[in-house]
Amino acid sequence: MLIYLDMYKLLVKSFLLLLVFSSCSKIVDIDIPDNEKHIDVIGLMNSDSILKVNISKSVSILQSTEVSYFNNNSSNTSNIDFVSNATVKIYENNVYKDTLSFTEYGNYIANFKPVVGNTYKIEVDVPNCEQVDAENNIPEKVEILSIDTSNVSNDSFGDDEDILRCEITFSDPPDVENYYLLNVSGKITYSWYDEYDDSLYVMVDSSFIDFDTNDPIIDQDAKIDNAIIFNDDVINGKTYTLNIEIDKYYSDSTMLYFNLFSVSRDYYLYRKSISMQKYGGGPFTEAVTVYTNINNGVGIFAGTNKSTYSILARNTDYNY
Amino acid sequence: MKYLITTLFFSLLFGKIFSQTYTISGTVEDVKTGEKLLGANIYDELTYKGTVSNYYGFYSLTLPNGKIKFTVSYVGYQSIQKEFFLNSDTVINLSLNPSIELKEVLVLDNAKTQVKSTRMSVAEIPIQTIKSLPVLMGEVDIIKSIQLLPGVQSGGEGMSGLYVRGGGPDQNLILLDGVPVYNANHLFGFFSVFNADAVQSLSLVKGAFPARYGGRLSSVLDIKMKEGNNKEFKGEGSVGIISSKLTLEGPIVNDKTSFIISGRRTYIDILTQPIIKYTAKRNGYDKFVAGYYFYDLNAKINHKFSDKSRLYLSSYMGRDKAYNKIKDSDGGDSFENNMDLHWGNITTALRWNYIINNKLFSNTTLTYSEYNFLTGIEMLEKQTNPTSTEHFKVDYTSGIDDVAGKIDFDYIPNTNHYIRFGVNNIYHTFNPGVSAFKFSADEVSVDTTFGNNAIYSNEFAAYVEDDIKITGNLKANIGLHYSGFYVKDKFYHSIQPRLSVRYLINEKISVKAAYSQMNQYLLLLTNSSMSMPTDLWLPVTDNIKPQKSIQYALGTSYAVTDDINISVEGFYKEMTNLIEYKEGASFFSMTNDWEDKIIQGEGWSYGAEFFVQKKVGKTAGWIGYTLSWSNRRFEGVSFGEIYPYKYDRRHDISIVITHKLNDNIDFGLTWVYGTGNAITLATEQYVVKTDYGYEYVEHYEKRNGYRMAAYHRLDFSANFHKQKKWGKRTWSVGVYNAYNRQNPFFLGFEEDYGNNRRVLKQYSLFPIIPSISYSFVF
Repeated sequence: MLIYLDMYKLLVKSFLLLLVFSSCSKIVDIDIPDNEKHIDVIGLMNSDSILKVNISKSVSILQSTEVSYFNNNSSNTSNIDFVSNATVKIYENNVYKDTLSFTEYGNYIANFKPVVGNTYKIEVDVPNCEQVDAENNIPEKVEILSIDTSNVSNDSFGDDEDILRCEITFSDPPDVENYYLLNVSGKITYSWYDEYDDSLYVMVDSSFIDFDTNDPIIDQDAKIDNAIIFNDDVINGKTYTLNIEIDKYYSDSTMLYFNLFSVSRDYYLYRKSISMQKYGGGPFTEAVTVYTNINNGVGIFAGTNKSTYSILARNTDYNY
Repeated sequence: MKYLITTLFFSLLFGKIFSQTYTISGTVEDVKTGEKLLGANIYDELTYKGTVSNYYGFYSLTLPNGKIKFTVSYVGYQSIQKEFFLNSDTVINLSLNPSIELKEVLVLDNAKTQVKSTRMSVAEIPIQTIKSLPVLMGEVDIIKSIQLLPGVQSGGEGMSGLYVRGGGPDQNLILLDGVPVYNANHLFGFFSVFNADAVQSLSLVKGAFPARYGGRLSSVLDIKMKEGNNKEFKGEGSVGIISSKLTLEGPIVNDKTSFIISGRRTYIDILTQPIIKYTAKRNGYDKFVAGYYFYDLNAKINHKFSDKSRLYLSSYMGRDKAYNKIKDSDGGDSFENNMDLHWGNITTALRWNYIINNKLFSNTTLTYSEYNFLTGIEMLEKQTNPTSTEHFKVDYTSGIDDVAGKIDFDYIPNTNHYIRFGVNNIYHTFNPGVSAFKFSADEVSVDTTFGNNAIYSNEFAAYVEDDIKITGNLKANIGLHYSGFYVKDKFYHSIQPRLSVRYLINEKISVKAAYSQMNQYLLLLTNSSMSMPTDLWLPVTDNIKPQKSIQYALGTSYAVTDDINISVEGFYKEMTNLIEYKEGASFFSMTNDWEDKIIQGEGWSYGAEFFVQKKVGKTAGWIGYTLSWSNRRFEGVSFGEIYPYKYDRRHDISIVITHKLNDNIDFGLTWVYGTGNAITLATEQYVVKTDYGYEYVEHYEKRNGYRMAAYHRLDFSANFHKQKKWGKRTWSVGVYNAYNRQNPFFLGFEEDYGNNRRVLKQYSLFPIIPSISYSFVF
């Protein structure tokens, strides 16, 4: 039902944006005080990888924000003030476990993989700064029970396109507050025949797959960067089937990986507030601060638990 | 001895101690239209004892027997004077002639009336002035004219919200013929719902609230609709860029029954239909219809049973609608999509005036008021291969309904007392948002309704107030307002004392002071600073307490000349239990616990207002200047420290001038200036990590820590009239923002590509906008 309120919001925003962009704008001077910067800790734990955190400092609002999107360690991250001299300590269930080692680009790694059920605390000391700390755990996994796909020729928005409708079924545990993130990644195999050298070329591309959803439990504000985040307020304890739609372009012989992450509440609020700050805002709403569970700092330290279900989607129009 | 003192006391109180008194009473009306006149001065020029006609034109003047010089005067009308010997109770119904020559100041004590009145913090703008002011896009707007008064601000460029003495737009009681209007805005606040052609008069009370008003903290905007000319059939209308309107009024039975009907509609949707149709055909749709419009309709009938009894039935209906219909088919398959968003108010009032005796007047009112917002989406999909039909329908509604009744009495025992008392009760039904969802596909069908349950509540009030002449120079209005609110087993109530005092130094100058306490049981949940149709009115609960305010005012009123009045007023207002969203609370959410998303805090507002007004004459208008501070404090916002209210405006200046060159041409000019609104700007930024890598987000420390640049604007208009055989026609041309100032509307940081930095950009909304409209009166 939220989609209809969202369509209304879209209507309002388009009208207002139309007004604002058809108007004039100019650059104004501003006096920004040179405050002490905050320590930004980004740490996402999962039980399949070594515990890793990234530490940087906040910068002035007037600094350029052009950063690379291509991969996490690209050298185009020159506009980020990574911290390389932090002392990062990890405690497992209040017992000291490890001091992380610095690698590069603000990354610090541990020598162990975190375990579901334990509580991990992180303490970050950067010279000349107050200590920042945070605590979190990895939630229990929620398995994807099944996925049914069907080919449809119209999606619910009335456009005339081929899409793959996917119905993802999972069972929400009762008695617990659950928070989820869903994304879809894929290994797309392209093959084409070259007449000139009489050969078949194959290319495999790994990427995140864009999808749309008008499932009633999804708040459209909570879709960001090809992931959707939601909680179990409406579906607590039920076995629910979530509907999403993927453009068929991607399923030209694609291995689709549907990832349902069970995430901690802090991570849910973090992602949701980022989405609201990016897509909300504007002249008519009050500014949104991004949620943080880092004491004395900003960022996030949280756990996620992934359940993956893979499907081979083949486009029967192309048959090589 | 005790008996003597008691008699003395009671006789002093009722002024019958030394002489026999008689009462002259009746009604005051306009001779041409039959409209009752509120606020006419009726007095004996020999003793200067007098009274004022009430909201329905009724007056009662009790004087000692003897020779009197009975005088009636009213702004814009010729005075009446009758000398006679008063020796019995008399009924004199007055019909006043409008002044033909505005140049002649026939109303001698217009400016002095304000000096004499105990009322302060109240402003009245004659409707004629509002109609001759320059306006945005040619749309005459009552609310925008009120924003030109000191102490009143708008929420932003072009917006219709009223921010009165540091209070929010949800703290104004907007009454249309006594019925509260919940959403007075069209098109997200760019235009108001009031059609100026149907309005007779309006007044805005910003402080010193008399006991008869209650239920909102910051202001009462009392709009009185025209009753309808009961002598002859008349009409007026206009055609403008945005909308057109037409008003018809006249008698049904001469001098007894009259009606007025007034309508207004925008027509952008009709004009853009051909373009949309053409674009749709090109894209292969069978049918594509989309548009937006709004309309207002006011209708009123009044009937005079006798000189003592009168009945009025008035109604208002207004709506905004955005719609979209798509139909497409491909072979045997068909697809249909209808989307409809609409919101609006309906109000109805049935009032009965009854003059009980020559000193007691009563008015009984029954009202119904409704505001609702509805989003409806319907989709129908039919396929032939394989055969299937899918039908999907969702309706979301929210709103508020009121059913109310009230009785008010005016009791004027003598010229030293004017007593008002009454009771009223409103039964509220709040609908905080319900969705009805229907889905059917071949064999499957789902039909469910979910959302928040309706909330019912009762708001009750009783009041008594007396305008007492204590001595020759000292007059006071003392009143008590009691209100109670009952919702879901929770009962709140309050006793609110109201006091205003006027000390007349001499005929030309007075000093006034006032104290008032106000309570508000309704709150407005809004996600933004614009008026949104999705704004929800909700009642207080167990956890959310009623908002309260206490206001002190002190001022002086000075009649410089016969028609120019200067008032200077200082005020201090304290507000508690104000509402604010918790940081990060998302409005559109599936959970029903809206109470958890709200925090309550406090606010303070204080300052001084300087107002020079000339109501009549060839040149009329006013200059207003307000110096004020407005702050808030909420736990969890801006570190729990006091921070400036978003609409804290240090200086606010309005200059409004209308000038009549001759009978055929008049001009209007307004110039406004305001210190910039407070705005929250980020001071730093840091990275977050998503599936694609790093991205910067903004970080804010203090709420409303920065100010936008000052706002100022000049509007100008000229009206050209011409008498015709059938009536009068007028061409109005105007220009909004005459010197094209880029006024700040919104500020945001943006990347300055190529220069490796970010800059702060200011967006402006309205550049210079000319307008033209054609209006007629017959």
